[in-house]
Amino acid sequence: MWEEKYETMERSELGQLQLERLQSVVNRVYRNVKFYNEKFRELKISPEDIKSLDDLRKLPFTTKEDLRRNYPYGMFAVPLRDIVRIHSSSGTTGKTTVVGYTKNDLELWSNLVARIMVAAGVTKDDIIQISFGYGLFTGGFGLHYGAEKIGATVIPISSGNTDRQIMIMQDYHTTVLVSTPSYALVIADRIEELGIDPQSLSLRIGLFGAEPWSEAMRQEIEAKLKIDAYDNYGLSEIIGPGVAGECEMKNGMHIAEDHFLVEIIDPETGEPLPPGEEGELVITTLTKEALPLIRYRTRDITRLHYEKCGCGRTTARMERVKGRTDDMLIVRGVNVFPSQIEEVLFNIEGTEPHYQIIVDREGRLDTLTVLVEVSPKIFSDEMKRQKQIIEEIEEKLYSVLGLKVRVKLVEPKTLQRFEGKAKRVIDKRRL
Amino acid sequence: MLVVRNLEVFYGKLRAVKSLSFHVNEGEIVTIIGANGSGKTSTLRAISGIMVKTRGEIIFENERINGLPPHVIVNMGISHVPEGRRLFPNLTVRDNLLLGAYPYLKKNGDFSKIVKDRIEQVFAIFPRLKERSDQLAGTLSGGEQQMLAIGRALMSRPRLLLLDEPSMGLAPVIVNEIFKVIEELRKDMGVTILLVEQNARKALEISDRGYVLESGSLVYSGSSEELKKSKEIQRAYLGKSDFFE
Repeated sequence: MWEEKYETMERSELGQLQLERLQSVVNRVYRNVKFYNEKFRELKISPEDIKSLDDLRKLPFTTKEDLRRNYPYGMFAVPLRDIVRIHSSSGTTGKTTVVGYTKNDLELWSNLVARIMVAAGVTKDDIIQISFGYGLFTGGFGLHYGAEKIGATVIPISSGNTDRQIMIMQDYHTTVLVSTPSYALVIADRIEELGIDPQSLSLRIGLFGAEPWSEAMRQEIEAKLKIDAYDNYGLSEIIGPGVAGECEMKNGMHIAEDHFLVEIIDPETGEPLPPGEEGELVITTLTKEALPLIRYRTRDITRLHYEKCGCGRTTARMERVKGRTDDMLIVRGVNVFPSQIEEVLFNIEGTEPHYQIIVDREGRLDTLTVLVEVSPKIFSDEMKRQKQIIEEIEEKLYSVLGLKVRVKLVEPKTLQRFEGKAKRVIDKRRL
Repeated sequence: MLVVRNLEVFYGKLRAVKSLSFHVNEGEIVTIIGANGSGKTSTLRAISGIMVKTRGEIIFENERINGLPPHVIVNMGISHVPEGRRLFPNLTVRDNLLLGAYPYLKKNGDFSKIVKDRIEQVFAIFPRLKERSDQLAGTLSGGEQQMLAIGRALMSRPRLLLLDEPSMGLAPVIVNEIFKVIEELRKDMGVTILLVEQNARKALEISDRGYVLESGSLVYSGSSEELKKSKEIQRAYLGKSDFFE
């Protein structure tokens, strides 16, 4: 284990540590973050009211919408000069969510990722191919620094160019693959196509995350690549990857509870649910300096288990994420909110406010198609004008989402109309 | 070893410590840092039973000790070296040390070999005190007085030593010496140490972990390494300015 002392801590001892850390983070956000200061006052809560971990429920939730309203730096608890790194994730509209890290935060993040890597059996002798996109997305850099922390050899290849990925995997003797599970399957298929025997590769472990997947997918990846595949969980608002990860038992992801206080709530009522029940995961960061978040609603649906794991760790385990309580889609590891698409369409002349989003999986990779109704005039217009509109929308969507989207124009009044809540997204993927 | 939960300390109506939780594991050196009036001293005084008006829990080796009288707490294994040494200036060095064994003497009525052995042990740690054993405490230098105060606390054979501002008012060379002694106490005698210091930089150098208090509330906790690296703490407590960076 990477940090055995914390990963196997007695639950009572962990509780004391969490209480100390909770009290100090609550004091800090109350003092340093206007949003929390006002919210606490509104609810007539003082930091001193938090006398036990159960008192957590007295505190207000934080939502992605709160982050958006305080865009870009309003939620930071330290001055900008203390921030040494910025990442971001997609927002519900055109604006992204900004996350900042202090030096200590980066150190913490590296250690947390090191924990999940070591839990999956990675050692300093491994050669790790990181096929996550680098950049503002937290996946690439998160895994990168964790791998370096262990002392492993890192190949920061980033995503894309499958043949090159495979060539490097063969020539550099990659032992660990880090990617989205769907991309692992793309690689596996291509290896098969090229007639390469997976046994001839040095690959032994895969760390997959950033999108939902299933046991069936795990079995397929393991069989095709002849590796052990492990799931991990994280979200950039909280820190990025490293929040939780599977151990060799593959029976749930161990949460770094010394740094994150987790709850499962009923997404409708906001009431905390007892251990083992399914609901929305809510996370409070206990040690983060730059962007501490109190009761952040992840919108991810899962269950928590507290029985001691066969690996000896005492931390809670979360099940695979079952789904979302909002309409966020994860397409090729990229978070997409339908509202982002709507906003783009709204600003395009000639389109009607009727659209449909279709997510599908062609072969191994997700596709996103947007059907838009256009005004009768444009539909009867020459092809050139239609092509122009399609290109304009595709370009704008790419700049907002960072994802290639297929756009199709349809005749007015051909898309289904809704009386109640519109169901604009059709997800045809079967995982 | 020591677990504190939601400690509140009152001076009349004034609350010096608000809902403070922290812990000290056996064998650790833990530092509480904070500005003047942030509640550091009050916290130590609450642990050793000198401050009676407290709320919350103080648990020492699984036993709740709030409300117990100071001499009982001393006999349980907690010694307190107060801020400003608080020696008896008109008594000799040896007599000051003897007073440190008073709770033990009172309990066991035994004034023989054991106490003498302990004095010899203190002399072994602080040879200078031996040289001055018949001198009045008031005539010692500041550094020697601090050594005597620590020596006196060691007379009751503590497992947990509470040190309040041991470097206060001492010349830098002496400060280094005192901190070295503190490190040795843990290493050679296995004493666990809870340290309160304004000299945060020095204190963090010898301690494993630290807690930062701000007007009676805990605002940071972490390993000494982490605390030293935090810019916020550097600015507020380590006298480092990044104005010219």
